[in-house]
Amino acid sequence: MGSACEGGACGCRTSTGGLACVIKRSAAIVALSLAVALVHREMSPAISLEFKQGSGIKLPVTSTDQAGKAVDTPKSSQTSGVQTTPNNPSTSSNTSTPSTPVQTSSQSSTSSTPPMDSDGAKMLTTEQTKALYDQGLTQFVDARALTEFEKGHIPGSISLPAGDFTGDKIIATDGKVNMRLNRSMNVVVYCGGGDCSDSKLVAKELVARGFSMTAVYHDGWNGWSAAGHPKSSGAELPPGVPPMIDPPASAGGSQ
Amino acid sequence: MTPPLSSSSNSPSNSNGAVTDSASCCSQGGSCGCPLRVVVPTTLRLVLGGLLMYSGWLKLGISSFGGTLPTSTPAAFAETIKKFDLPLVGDDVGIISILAFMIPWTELIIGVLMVLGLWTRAAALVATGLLVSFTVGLGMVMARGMEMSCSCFGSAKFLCGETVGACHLARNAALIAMGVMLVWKGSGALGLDRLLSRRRG
Repeated sequence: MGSACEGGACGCRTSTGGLACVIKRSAAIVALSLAVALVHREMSPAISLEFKQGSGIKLPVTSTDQAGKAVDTPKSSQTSGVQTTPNNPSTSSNTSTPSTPVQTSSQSSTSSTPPMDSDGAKMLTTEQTKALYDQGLTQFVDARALTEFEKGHIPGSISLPAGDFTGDKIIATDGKVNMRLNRSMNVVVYCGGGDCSDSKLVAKELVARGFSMTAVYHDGWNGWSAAGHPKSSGAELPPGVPPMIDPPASAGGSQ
Repeated sequence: MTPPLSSSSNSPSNSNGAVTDSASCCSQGGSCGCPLRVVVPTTLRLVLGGLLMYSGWLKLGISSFGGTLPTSTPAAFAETIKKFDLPLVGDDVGIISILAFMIPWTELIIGVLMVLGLWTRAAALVATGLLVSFTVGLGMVMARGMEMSCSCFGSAKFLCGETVGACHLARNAALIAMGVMLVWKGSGALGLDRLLSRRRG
């Protein structure tokens, strides 16, 4: 190693000094990286690793449950990662009503059990997503490009393309997220469907920003439209209109 | 000890003033700009440094340049680190979040240094250490029989598929070899290291 430093090719003049010089400079590079990383970390939203453990989204009770009654299931008995959400006051046991967003699923181990992706993210089937939609208390996020969103989307959805979470767009995106989405309510993110990754990326970004009740609609827009469920087209609803309440009636351009 | 100035492009001369060719320059052990001594370290620097810059930039997700780069985020990288379930790291959110920012920044910084040819050997040493640790992590994942995404270049792929496999180990082995070469050889004639050493005399 020392011979490579001969002649000052690396700024290290002698064999032994060259080795020490390289090690010192390596340590300086690592220290610089650590310092920059810590500053960047302080300036960024806190990283949450809850997503892998199963996000706190609450699935609605379907007709297969007891006469439509909401059932609170203890965490230990929940098979699809359904969890109570600490910052949601309506998650206390035995308080669920049809109007709360935190009803739990007791049938999640049936044939409609959603697949889990390689990241361990909670994935919803079309049936589960439609049940949440019908419940009217779920916020839908479209992770596709804006042009795709305007061609057609789930009524009441807001557009948050995955690319908006990068670069200079982050500030505006964070502003939109804070203004349009409620952290104490379910969020379902979708993209084209199948293997598209935009919904997973956006879901992770939302979880990192404190939206613990976030899940991904696996079949996405293709699955939704193929099932013949309600659609909207054009621009998203204005901020004053809650996107999750009575979406078919209030959404312009519903089909 | 100071090598003669690189002058290959202007017909290098020997001590008697006779013009020498590149081959004789190399055979004499000179660092006067013979092709191998210029091209090899420079190519290694640009390839390895460029890849590290690319990898770090994608993981940091600072900018996708209008959607042209498949950037990821430190949060997504943190998820990957957690899934690796590394010894001493486990699922400690504090350590993982620091690593999720520090690894991309380290890649970016040493990539820039390598491309510039500044502090090349130190940057290559850090790169080699980083690549060795990545390879050990990948090997552990494979040994456990886990099927998971590499996320080596964020959400992008380079030479290998997404799922961790032998291809990733081979690719890392090649990159480690490049790093070791740079630690050994330094920046070469075209690096800032050489330029600065000339100025110091």
